[in-house]
Amino acid sequence: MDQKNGDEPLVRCLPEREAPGGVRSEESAPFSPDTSSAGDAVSVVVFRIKREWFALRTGLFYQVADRELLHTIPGKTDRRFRGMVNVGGDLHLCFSLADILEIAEPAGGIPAEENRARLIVAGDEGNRFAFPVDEIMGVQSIFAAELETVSATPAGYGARLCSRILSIEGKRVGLLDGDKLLNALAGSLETDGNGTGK
Amino acid sequence: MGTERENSGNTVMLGLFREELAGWTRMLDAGLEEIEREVTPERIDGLIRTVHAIRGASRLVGLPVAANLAYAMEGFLSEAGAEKHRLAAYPAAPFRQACDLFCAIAAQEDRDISRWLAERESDILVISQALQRSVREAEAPPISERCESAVPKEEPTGCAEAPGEIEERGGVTPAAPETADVPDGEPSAGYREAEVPRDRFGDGDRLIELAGECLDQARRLRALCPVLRASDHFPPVPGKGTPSPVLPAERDREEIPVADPVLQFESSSKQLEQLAERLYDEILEIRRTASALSPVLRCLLVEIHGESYALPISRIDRVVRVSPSDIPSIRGRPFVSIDGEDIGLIDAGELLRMPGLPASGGDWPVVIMRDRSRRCGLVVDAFRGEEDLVPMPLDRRLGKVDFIRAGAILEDGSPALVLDMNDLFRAIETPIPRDRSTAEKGAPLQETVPKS
Repeated sequence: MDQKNGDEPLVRCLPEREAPGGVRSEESAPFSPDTSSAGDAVSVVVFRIKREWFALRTGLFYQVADRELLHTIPGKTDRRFRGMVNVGGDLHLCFSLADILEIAEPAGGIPAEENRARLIVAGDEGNRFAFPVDEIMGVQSIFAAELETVSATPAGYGARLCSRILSIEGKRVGLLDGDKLLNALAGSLETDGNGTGK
Repeated sequence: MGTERENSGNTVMLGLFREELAGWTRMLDAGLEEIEREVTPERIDGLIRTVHAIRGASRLVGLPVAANLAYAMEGFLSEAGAEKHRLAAYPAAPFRQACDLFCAIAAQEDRDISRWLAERESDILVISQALQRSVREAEAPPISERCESAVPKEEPTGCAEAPGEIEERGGVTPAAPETADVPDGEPSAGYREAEVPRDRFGDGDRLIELAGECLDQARRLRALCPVLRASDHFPPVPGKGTPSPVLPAERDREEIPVADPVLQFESSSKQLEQLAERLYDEILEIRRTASALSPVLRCLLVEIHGESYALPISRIDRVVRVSPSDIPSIRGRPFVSIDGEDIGLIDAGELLRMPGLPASGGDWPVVIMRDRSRRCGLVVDAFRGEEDLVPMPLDRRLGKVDFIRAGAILEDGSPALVLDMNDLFRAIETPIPRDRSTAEKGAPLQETVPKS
């Protein structure tokens, strides 16, 4: 599947990907088949970016806000790092997960009635980041037994940041690896403002 | 009984008051002598503390006439401390009279003080009024004198305007005086300018400004040292005139060893370089500390490429609107003549690497910034007014951001960036050509979530 064409949702290709070797993040560990039982539940927040659904551990979430005005940072802003936003009196760096996860614009766009845009602030103290999403489904408890392994089919960068996939309310949801996501965000700052590495 | 106890208590208090007043009067006298020699913020603060103590104590012992006089003095000094007028130009007579009066109060018997003050109430009122009148008639702040050449004398200076307002002013050139609606005004030909109130920045800002200036001097000094060391010219040695390089063979023939002027100079130059390095580091640290201590920064808000940027008012000389037809260029660099001085213009959008400025068919909004001895004009897209901002350090993950000193949140909740004036002045050393006619229409304020 070619994600850049935007013909198919990203998560459809995830079951065909191989799990990353030797890497087990803090939040993916409880879902590992050999260490967890079906009774281990973890809380995640499920949100949508364009046509794709993703989940991120609730513990990483700091705040959800309405859309906020963005201010670009000269020499730093590019398509992945958008600038800074004021959320609750604090200035947060704002990233475009759609670009970081390489989610293509769906053909025909998204109907206005599906646009329930919010701004999410997540991350640890001193390492917070904001990113806009198109919709938040809510907080869900998921069990290890529900998770499926990500397959190895090369896809967008988003597939590499997803540790598992699961089905929620009939939707295929990619479980984002928090550590990898933070690393990807940090990497997107190391550009010269034109989206190229220094 | 109660009245007797009160009177007894008052007598004790009055005795203490008189003793303390005698001490405060001596301090006041010494302080007045000092500021007559040289006015410094520390001396003003010292005087304010003294008259404040006199005022409080006078109220405590039930002497409102004395308290009111101290209050008038305190008000005058506070205004001077806030640079609303020059203390050097203050009328000495009322101050001296007030000081003498406090001295006389301290010399009275406890039981006579109230009567003595009541007899002189009208005289004391005259002194208080003289001090209050001095505040009203005081000179304009020195900082605005730079604007005076361009502002008709009969107009008020506008230095005590309400925040968020920039008063309209006459033109720079007397032949074409026009008013300027700076934040949103319609463009018109010729120069138009507006003064920026600059009496609100506090000690922290002054310290930052001073440190910034010192930093630039230290930087120049540091840059100069290698040049001096590499120079073929030797400085004159006192009493010997300008020395010529001394060859080793010639030195060997000298019977009495003398200090080699070349070596002396190299040694001094190295010391100078070390001193400059240390000076630079220390001033940089002072500026950082001062920035951290100064929570509020009075800023002029401008629009650059559809977004808000803030410039500390303490470094702004004035704001003007300049007709493009009145802007000649020297070697491809536009400049504007103000007060007989050619001031180079730099384009904020190009400086911040944001090509495609909004096409502007009218006048260019220009912020004239001032350094210690230089001025330059920053061409922006629009003026947005003034605000007191609390600078917020940018996220450390961003690293160094050129030309940006800090972030800030505006009153409407939108983010803004505070420009680093020192970076801007360094940038003007590299001319940036500007051509607005080929610019594209700029983007409006962006939102984090695109509307679908």
